[in-house]
Amino acid sequence: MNVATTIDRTRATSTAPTDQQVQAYLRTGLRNRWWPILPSRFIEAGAKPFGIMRLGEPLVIWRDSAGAVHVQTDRCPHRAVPLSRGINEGDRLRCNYHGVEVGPDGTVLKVPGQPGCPLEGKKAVKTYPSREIAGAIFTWFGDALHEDAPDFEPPEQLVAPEYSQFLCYADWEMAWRYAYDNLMDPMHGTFLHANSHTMYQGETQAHFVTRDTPHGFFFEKDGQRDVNFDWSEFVDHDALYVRLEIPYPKSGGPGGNFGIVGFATPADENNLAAFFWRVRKVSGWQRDTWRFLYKTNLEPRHWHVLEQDREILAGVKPGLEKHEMLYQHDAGVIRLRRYLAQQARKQLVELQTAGKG
Amino acid sequence: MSDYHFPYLSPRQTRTGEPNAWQLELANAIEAVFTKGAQELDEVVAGLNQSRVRPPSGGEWTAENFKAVMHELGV
Repeated sequence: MNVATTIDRTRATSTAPTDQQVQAYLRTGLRNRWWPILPSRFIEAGAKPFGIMRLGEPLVIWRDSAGAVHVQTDRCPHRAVPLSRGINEGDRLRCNYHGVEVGPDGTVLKVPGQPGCPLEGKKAVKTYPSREIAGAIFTWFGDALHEDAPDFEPPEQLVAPEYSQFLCYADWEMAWRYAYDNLMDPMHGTFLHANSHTMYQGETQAHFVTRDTPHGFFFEKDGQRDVNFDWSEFVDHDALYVRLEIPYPKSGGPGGNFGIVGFATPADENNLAAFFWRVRKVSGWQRDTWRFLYKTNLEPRHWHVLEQDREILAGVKPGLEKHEMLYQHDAGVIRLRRYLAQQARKQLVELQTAGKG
Repeated sequence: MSDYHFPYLSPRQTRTGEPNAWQLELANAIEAVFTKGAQELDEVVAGLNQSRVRPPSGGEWTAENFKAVMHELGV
C-alpha cells in the first residue's frame, strides 16, 4: 500500500457523512432523479410565468409561444428577484424589476438599462432538463456532478398504448418521504380505507414478503393477490415511484384492476406535490366506458380515498421515526428508508470526494 | 396561470364541464348493469335496454350506438 492510498482512505473516513447529514440531505428529496413537478395543464402557452418550490429549489416554469415548457431557477441574474414576477415575452422572460431578458437556455439576451453590459450573452440562469409525460412536467434535479440528464424511461403505465390513465394532482402539507412510506404500506388499506368503494375485502391480518426486481422491490401479502390492496412495488429507475393495484368492485366493469403509479415530489421539507396516475390496462369499448364512468362517477370516489391518506398524514414533519415502534408489516417501509439513506449517502460521498460537498 | 391555487385539492380534475342529467343517468345505469354481473358488450347493451335510459337518438341500445356514445364521452 502506498502513502497516497493511505491518505485517501483517511480522508474518505474523516468525511463520511453522518446519519444526521444523510437525513438532512434527504429532507428536500433525492437528487439525480427525474421528478414530476406540475401538471402540464396549469402552464399555458404564452401565459404568465409561474413560480414554485420543488426539492427546496425556487423554480420558474413557463411555456413559450411555440408551446415548449421551460423550467429555470426563479431568480433574475441581476438582482436575484423572482423571474416568475416577470413577463413571458413568448421566446424569453423579462424581469419586471429592471427589464433584464433571459432566454430559454438561461442566457441573458438583453440588459436594456445598460446595453453591452457584461451580463449580456452570459448563461446565468440555471435551466433544468424537462419533458412532458402523461400530462405532467418532469424535471431532472441533478447535483453538481450530474447536471446533464440521462434518458428517462417512464413507467409503462404512463406511456404504453394498452394502458389508459388519468392524472390526479394534489398539494400535501407533509414531508415527502411519509407519502412513500404510505405507498409501501399496503396494510393501511384494510383499515384506513376499509369503507372505500374498492378496499373492503380480504383479511385484516397478513404476513408480508419482499421480492427483488431489477429496479426495486415488491412488498406483498403472502398468499393473497387481487383481493384488496395486496402489494406495492417500489421502483427507482431514473425516478422514484411506487406502483400498486387494487381490484375494482363489479360496478367498475370489465378491464381488470385499478392501478396507481404514485410520485411524491418534495416541494420543501414540509410540503410535497402528489402525483397519482390512476391507470387501467383496458382497450376498446371497455376503455371508453371506464373513462366515461371515471369522469362522471368514479373520480370523486377515488379522491375520497386519497383524502383519507392526506388527512391521516397531514402535517407530519421530518423526525417522525423517533417516535415509532415498527412491526412486520412495516418491513417495506424499513427497506425503503434504508434504500433512500444509502442513495443519499452515496451522493454525499461522491460530492465530498469531488470537493463539491 | 389557470385554475391553480395552493393547496390544490380538487376532487374533479379530469372533466372540462359538468355532465348533463342524461349523462349522469347513463353512468348510473351502466354501473348498475355492471353490478348485476354484465361483462360482455351484448350483456351491457341488453342490461341498458332494461333501464329507463335511452340512447341519444331514442329507441334501443345496440352494440354500435353504445360503442359510439362511449367513444364520444370517454375520450
